[in-house]
Amino acid sequence: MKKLFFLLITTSFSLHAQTAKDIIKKMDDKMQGNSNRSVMKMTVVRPDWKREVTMKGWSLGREFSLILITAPARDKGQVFLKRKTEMWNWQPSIDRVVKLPPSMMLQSWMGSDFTNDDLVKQSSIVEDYNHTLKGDTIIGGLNAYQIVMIPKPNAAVVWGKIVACVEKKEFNQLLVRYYDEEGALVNTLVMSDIRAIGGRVLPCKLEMFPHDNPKQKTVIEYMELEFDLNLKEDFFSMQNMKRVR
Amino acid sequence: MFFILAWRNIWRNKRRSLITILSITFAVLLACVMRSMQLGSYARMIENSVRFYTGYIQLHKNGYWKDKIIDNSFAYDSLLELKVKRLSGVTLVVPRLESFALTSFNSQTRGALVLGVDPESENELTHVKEKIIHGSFLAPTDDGILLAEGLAEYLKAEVGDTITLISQGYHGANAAGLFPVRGIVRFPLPAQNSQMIYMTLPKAQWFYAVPDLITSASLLIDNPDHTDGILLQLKKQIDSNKIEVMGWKELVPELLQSIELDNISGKVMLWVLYFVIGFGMFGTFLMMTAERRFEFGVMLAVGMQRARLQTLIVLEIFMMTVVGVLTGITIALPVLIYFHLHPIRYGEEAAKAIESFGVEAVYPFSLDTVVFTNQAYAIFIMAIVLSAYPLWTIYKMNVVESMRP
Amino acid sequence: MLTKIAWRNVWRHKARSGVVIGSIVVGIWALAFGGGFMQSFMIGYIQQSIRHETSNGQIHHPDFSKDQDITFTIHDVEKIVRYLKQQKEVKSICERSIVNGMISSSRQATGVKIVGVDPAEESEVTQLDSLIAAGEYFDHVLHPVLIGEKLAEKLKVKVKSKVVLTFQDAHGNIAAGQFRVAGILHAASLVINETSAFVEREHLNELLGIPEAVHEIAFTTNAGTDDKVFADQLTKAFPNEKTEYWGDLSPTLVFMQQWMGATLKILIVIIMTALAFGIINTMLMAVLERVRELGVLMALGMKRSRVFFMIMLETIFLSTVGGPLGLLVGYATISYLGDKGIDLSDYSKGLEAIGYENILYPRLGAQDYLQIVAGVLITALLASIYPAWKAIQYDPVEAIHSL
Repeated sequence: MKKLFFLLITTSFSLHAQTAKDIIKKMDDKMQGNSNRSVMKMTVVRPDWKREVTMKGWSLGREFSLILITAPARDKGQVFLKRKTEMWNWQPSIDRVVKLPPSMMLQSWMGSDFTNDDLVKQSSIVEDYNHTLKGDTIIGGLNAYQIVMIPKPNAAVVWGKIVACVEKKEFNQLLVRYYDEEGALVNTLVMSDIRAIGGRVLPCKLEMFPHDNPKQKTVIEYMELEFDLNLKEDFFSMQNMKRVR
Repeated sequence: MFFILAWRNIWRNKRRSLITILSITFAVLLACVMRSMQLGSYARMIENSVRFYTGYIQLHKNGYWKDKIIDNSFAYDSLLELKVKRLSGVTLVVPRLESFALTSFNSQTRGALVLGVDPESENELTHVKEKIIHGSFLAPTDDGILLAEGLAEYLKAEVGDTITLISQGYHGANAAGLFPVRGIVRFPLPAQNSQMIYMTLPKAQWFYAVPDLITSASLLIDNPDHTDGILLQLKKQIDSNKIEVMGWKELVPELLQSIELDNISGKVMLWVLYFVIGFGMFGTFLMMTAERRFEFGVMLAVGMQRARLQTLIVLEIFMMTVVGVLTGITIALPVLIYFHLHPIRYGEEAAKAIESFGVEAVYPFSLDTVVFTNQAYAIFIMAIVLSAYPLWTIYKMNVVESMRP
Repeated sequence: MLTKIAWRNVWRHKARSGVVIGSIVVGIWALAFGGGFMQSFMIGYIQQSIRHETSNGQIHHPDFSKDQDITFTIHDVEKIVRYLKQQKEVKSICERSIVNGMISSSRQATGVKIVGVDPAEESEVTQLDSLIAAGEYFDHVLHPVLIGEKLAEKLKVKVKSKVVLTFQDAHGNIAAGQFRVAGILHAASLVINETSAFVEREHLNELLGIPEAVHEIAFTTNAGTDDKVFADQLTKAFPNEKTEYWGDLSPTLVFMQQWMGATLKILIVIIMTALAFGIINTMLMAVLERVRELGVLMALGMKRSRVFFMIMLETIFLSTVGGPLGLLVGYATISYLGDKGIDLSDYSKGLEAIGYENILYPRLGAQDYLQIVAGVLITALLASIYPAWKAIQYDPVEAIHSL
């Protein structure tokens, strides 16, 4: 579960560009931002059950983030802190901060619709890929660039190819398809509900569909989003984990 | 007529016949002992493995065995319980809720395997109570846990300490809790000793936010040989789309393989024994034939047809074999029953190594009827085949020469 | 004089003597074959694990086995390796670095033990290359990784597929690297099959940020080495590290060894008993057949004790013929099979599926032969005491009249 949030906090926002790499870089810069605060809802949909989690998140660049779970009741008050590549968890019910080993972060992610590479974000969508502008396309009535990204030979990336559709005006990602090396589609990420939020125009709904399991998906919806807050590194501290509300 | 003649012949030279019968008797006895021990040891291997963990049969939610996550748990409701318990041969049903968790105590953190159990029935299956080295066993409504020795050492936790468990519960729910350590358990298998945690089933269900569900139900049955039969009945009665029913052969395929492997060596050794036994029997047949050359010669000389003489001899051997085999089984039965009830202990060094695994260091003997029937059959065939020698001798016999003293 | 009579008696009754000699030969052969077979079987069983998993012994940082922390590296690796190379017991040595992390493909991700090996050393010690079922053993793709069949299935990857390994480096940072599946391993061991990923040590160490890291030194020893004693010797030589022999590393193997050893003992006892009965029966028959002849001897004034002694002497003669003959047959069988192997594939298709060698090469030491021959000869002598004693119980007159 945990890593998903860091991805989400830092996903998809925009500007102007020409070459494929520029387009991706602009999109990426937009999603990295500097700092932000968000309120969001995640819905995990499975064939026979569904679960909703709401949370608040703060992030500073790519390296620092903090997540507070606000619902459901059982999970409420739980806080996750990520500093660079380390991660901690604070649970009010046990009043303890526990550092999560990498394997544990993975364990809890098993069965999620976001793959490890999505979540860890060890790779950079700008640096680890070679980008080609494939052409234009129209998605949901919006003009978009279609960009093919092939991982560089040594990049620690599991994909064989990523095809992203980036909207031309606002540089928002609209559709991303993840392929394996044999060209088979693995996941599809759909972004919709584009509207003004936190002073920017952004897609507020993200849906991840695993191709192998058509009956399941994970949906993220942003309810609030604020940018360029005055957040400092010391906000992302273990002491603050117990204080944030 | 032949029968009477053959019967008389047997009794005419009691001593010789007795030796022949005795050689067959011992052949049956020894073959039975060897096979009984081999089969007994397989049964023991199965029992041990089952007692370590799995049970003879397990029920899970369909798909659990392939993907062992807590979401694949199922309701062991009264209807299902009724179906299972109604089957004859099922002596115990052990419900479990099994999943992983991160354990943490002071600054130490490590992954662990959490087992939510009904303490009483769990103990009946795996005898976990005997493995406690410090502290006490779980009470039925205990809110504490048992820690495996290796895990406790790593965490530097002792009985009375409270450790933290963190995991992901049912359908992604948060799972976190504090648990007092009630006891430390020592497992012989390092894999278990370094990661097992026991807690009561209700506590585990609370921890993982699982509403009255379990991940597996293990069955203990009165006779392991009935596993396949019970399995079949269960599969008939239970909706296979919802619940998967698996026997130990599927649950622990390595065990089946190592038994098959061992059985090969067992069979080779059995053949070596047959060879030795066969030669012993052949020896007595050969001596008998040599001894009776004169007698055979006389009978042929007075006009008895060779074929009739041969039939007579076969009949004699047949009778002696029947007597020998029956006597062999009659002796083998009490001997094996005795060893079954009072097994022989291993040598001291071996016993120590084996007992450290919680396995009784004795030679187990099987009383499976297959032991007796198969061995009796094998020896019987062997005797009949070996009777070819006297037949051949009679066939080749030169009457005049044979009657020379 | 007595010797002469006994010797003649042996040759006068060719069939009878032949049967006794035959029993002895069969006995020695059966024990040699059975013993050799079982030993190769047992050793094969244990050797399988020793060869591909534990090796004969391993050296670690004393805390490594409790907590596989990557900072628990072995100090003085060079010194230890140099020392090992000087020992006549040591056959091969390999160094490994180990880190627990995760492996992910585009479909799945799972926890894995990442083992950094030197491909050449590793193939000498664990014959890892012999387990390759598909692909190649560290071929020349950039950053090769070997994984087991089960793991490959779980990740849904094939040879040449891309995987990413992620783990914590020496500075506590998460390190990730791209690797290509060079080969897929087929092994009986669950550890190799499901939870291990083998990569080049140099590359792994680079990612770990500890260039010379060695977490494990594994070694194999020459046949006949007492691995436990040798491990103790190493512990004394390098008290700062922890040396364990295969039994400490895998108590299950000790369990199997003891279990099979104990079973073998009782099987041998049963076969010996069968042999003894065979010989007793044959000797008894032989003596009974000679009741008249022995009666004549006694009637002629031969003392009972001498008759008894004569029969025993005959047995000794028979044994001196049968013993060497049996030894020859047994030795020839074992040598032939030890060279050519016993093919068990007809008996069980499952053997190879679980990574167990289909062909066994039985072997027996000189000591074993000696024990077998001595055992059989003593059995033969003991077995002839009863018939001989029985023979001299007859009243000479009665004996002569009996048929």
